[in-house]
Amino acid sequence: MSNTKTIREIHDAFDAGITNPLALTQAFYSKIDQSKHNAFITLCKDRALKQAEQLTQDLKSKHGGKVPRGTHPLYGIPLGIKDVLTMDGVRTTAASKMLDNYISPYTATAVQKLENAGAISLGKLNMDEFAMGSSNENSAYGNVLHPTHPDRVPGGSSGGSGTAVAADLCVAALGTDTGGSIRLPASFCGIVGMKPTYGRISRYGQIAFASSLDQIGPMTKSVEDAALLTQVMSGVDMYDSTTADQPVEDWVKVVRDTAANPSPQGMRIGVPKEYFIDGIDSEVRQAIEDTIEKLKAQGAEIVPVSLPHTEYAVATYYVVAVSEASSNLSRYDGVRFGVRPKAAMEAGSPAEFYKKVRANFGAEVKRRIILGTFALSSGYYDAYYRKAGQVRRLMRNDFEAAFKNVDVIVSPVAPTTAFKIGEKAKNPLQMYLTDIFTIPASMAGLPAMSVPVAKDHQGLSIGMHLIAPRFKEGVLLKAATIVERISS
Amino acid sequence: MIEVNEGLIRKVAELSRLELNEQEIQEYVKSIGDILKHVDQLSQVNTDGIEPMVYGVDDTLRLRPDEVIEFGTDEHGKPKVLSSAPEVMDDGYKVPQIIG
Repeated sequence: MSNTKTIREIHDAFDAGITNPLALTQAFYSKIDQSKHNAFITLCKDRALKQAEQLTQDLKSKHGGKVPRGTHPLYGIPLGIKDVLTMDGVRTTAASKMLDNYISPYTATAVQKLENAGAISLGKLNMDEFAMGSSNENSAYGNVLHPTHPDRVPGGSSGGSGTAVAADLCVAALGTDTGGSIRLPASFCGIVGMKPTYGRISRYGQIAFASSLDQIGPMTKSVEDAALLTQVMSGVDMYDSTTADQPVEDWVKVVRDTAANPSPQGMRIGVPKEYFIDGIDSEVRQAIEDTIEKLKAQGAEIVPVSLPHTEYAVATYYVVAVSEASSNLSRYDGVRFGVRPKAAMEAGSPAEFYKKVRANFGAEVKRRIILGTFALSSGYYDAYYRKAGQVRRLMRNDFEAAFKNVDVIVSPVAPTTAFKIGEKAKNPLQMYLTDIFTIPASMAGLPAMSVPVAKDHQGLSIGMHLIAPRFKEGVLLKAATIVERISS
Repeated sequence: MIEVNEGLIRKVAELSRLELNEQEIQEYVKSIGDILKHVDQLSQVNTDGIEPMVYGVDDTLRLRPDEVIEFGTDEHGKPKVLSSAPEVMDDGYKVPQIIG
C-alpha cells in the first residue's frame, strides 16, 4: 500500500498551514516533470495553477485558514483525469491518433462535480486507445510504465491512472471500467480501484467504448478516498438518461464508522469456486485465501457460492463489448472533429474518405471494430450478439442467486500480478483472459472494487476483488474497509 | 464453427470501412480466428427461452424536455462545437468535394 497522503491527511495539513493547494499543485507538477512513467498525455498547468492560486487565497480570506470540508469535500485536492473524459478547452485524445488535435468543448459531468467540490485537475492520463486493452500497451502515446517495476505493465486500460496514483503524481485519479479497466490496474499498481454500479455516475463526457458496460470510478490510495470521490460524482444527470435515481448515501461515514470498529462479525462473504481455478498464480491464490482466512478468524461467515457461467465471461464480453464499440466508433468520420489525414482529401467517394480517416485507428481498435462488425452482421447476429446477450443474462442471474445468501463476493482481481511489457502483446486472446474475474461484475452492472492485500516475492501487488449487489456501494465499502485494515 | 480466412477478414473489413494491408490481414486471420474459436464455447450454453440482456439498466429511461440549450461560442465568437472540426466554413463543417 502506498504510504503517501490521503485526502483527509492533506486537508489536515492545509488546516495546520503546513502546505496549501498552490504549493501542493506545484509539488505534483515538479514530480510529474521528473517522472519517467509516461503517465500523462496532456498537462493543463495554467488552468490548474490558476485554480490552485484562487483556492489558496480563498482558504485564507474566505475560510479563515480552515478547509470548508462540508461544502467542498475535495478542496484543493490535485487529481489526474483519464484522457477519455472531456474537459472544456483541454485536449482529449482517448490515447488515439484519431483525436490528437481534439479540444473538447464541454466538461464531463463527473469531472465537473469533482471540480465543483474543490478538486484541481492536473492533466489527462495515459490509457489504452479508446480504453481497449489490459496493459496500456495500446496507447498511441506510448506505453505507461509500472510504478515500481519498469519492465512491467501497469495494467489497463486505466494504466496512467494506476501508475500516477501509486507513484504519487496526484492524490487520486479517475479511471473508467468496461470489463476491468479500473480494477486491474489498481491491483497491478497496489492501489484502491472502485467501479460503482452501472448508472451511478453520469457518463456524459466519457468517450464511449461499450455503452451498456462503461462506468467511471475512482482510483485512490485508500478506501475512504474512493468512497469520497464516488459520493461526490454519483447521482442523476439530465445529460445521461441511464443514471440511476437511487439515493447517494454518506459512504465516507460508512468507511469511518467501519474503520473505528473494523469487524466482519455477521458479514456473509461468498467465495465462488469458479474463481479459484487452475492457472491462477500460486502466490495470488495464497494471498486471497489468507485474507479470507483472516476475515473468517475475525467473525465473518465464509459461504461457498457458485457462479456457473464464469467460464463464458470472456467469450460473452468479447462479443457484447466489441459490438457496441463497432457502433460507437463509427462517429469518427473526420468531419466534425478529429484528425483528417491528407489522403482523405483526395478520396473519390464518401466511403473512401471514411476509410482514409479510419486509418488513424490503432491495431487493437481495428481488431475490435472488425470483430464487432462481424458479430452484428447479417447471418451471424443470432449466433453471436444475441447469444452473448442471453449468456449475459444468465451471468447476472448467477449473481442474483448468489446474493440471496451472501452480502459480498470476494475473489482475486486477476490470475497473476503485473506481467512483463510485451509478454502478451502478440497474443490478444491471452491478453483478454487477464480480465476473466473482472468481466462478470461488469456484465451484470454490479459495483466492485480492488483492494491491495499483499505482495508477491518480487514485490508486485496483489489485489482482492470485492463484488456487491447493485446499488449496495455501502456494503461494498464496508467490506473493503475491513479488508484494507486486516491487510495493512 | 466459423472458419476465419482471408476472404472473411476482407469482407468484414469492407463492411467496417477499414483499409487493411496484407500483414494486418494475416494477423487478424490468426488473432480473430483464435478469439472466435474461444467465443464458440457459447454454443454449449443452453439459452432456450432466455431474453437477451442488451442494456445496462432495467428501468425505462427518463426523457428530458426537448429544449434548445445554448452550447456557447469560442473566443472568436464561433460556435464551440465547430472548434475541433478539421475544416469549417461560415458556421458549418467543410468537407472536400467527393461526389462529382
